[in-house]
Amino acid sequence: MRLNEIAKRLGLRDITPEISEQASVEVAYGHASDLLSDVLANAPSGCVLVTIQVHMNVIAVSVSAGVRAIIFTSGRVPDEAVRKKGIEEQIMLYSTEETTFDIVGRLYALGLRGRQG
Amino acid sequence: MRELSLHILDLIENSIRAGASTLMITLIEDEKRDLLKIIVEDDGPGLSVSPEVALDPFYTTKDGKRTGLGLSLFRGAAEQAGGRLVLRESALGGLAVEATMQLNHPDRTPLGDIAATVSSVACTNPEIDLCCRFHVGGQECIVQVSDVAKEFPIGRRSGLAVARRVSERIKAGLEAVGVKSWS
Repeated sequence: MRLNEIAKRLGLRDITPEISEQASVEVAYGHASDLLSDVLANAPSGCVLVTIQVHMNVIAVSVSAGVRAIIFTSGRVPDEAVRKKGIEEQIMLYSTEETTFDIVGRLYALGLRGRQG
Repeated sequence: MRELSLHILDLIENSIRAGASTLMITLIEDEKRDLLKIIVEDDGPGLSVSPEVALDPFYTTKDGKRTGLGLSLFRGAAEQAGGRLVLRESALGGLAVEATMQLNHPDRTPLGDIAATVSSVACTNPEIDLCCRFHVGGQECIVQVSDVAKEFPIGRRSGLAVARRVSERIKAGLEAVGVKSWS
């Protein structure tokens, strides 16, 4: 499913509208974790990451792991430096008041899956 | 990373790659001040850039890599436990990486198997002069890791045997001072 379709269905707030052309990218996989070394080791390439971590490290880890978009849950919003780095690295960033648990459940219902095997 | 000892291993590898020959690992626990402090320092060349740049997760000294996460992830681990990470000059002449954390913070990463970390370094880098210091409350224990190898007759100084004895010494040292940050 396309990122913009996911964002619309889940009512996510797009905090990187500057790179909205990235929102037409199709994603099929997701990963939920707040432990960044786990993201590095286990996130499927091209996935959507669901996390409460808003540190700059989350962008760096996402670049290394090939994460396409990040959904920050529970009302967390990264600061401007992190947001700008996301734009520079072409990683779409979204925020939501909902919890990781609920967002992951809804992503699963939309057909996204975790790492195979 | 699941254990602080893996961050420590990462820093030791950085030091060795940078050309250090003397390394000191200091662990300080202070229950009264709710403090855990870890210092990894060396006699290497120190930083070639400012501490801000070195801590940038997009800064790396390795060719062909776009991110340098070692220090950044350790800083993240310190900050998530109410602490911080500081880079400064070491009395050994090189770099000191000093991480502080709240000892009892619910998000503090466990120390993990520091004995395995140190013994694996002793096994694979026998030429490195490595010393561990543990301070807990008023108690102190120092393990001069590189001296352990000298306890073996030269013909029987296998890396594995040395590593095993180093591991035993570290464990005994941690127990002697009553370290609590395992978990």
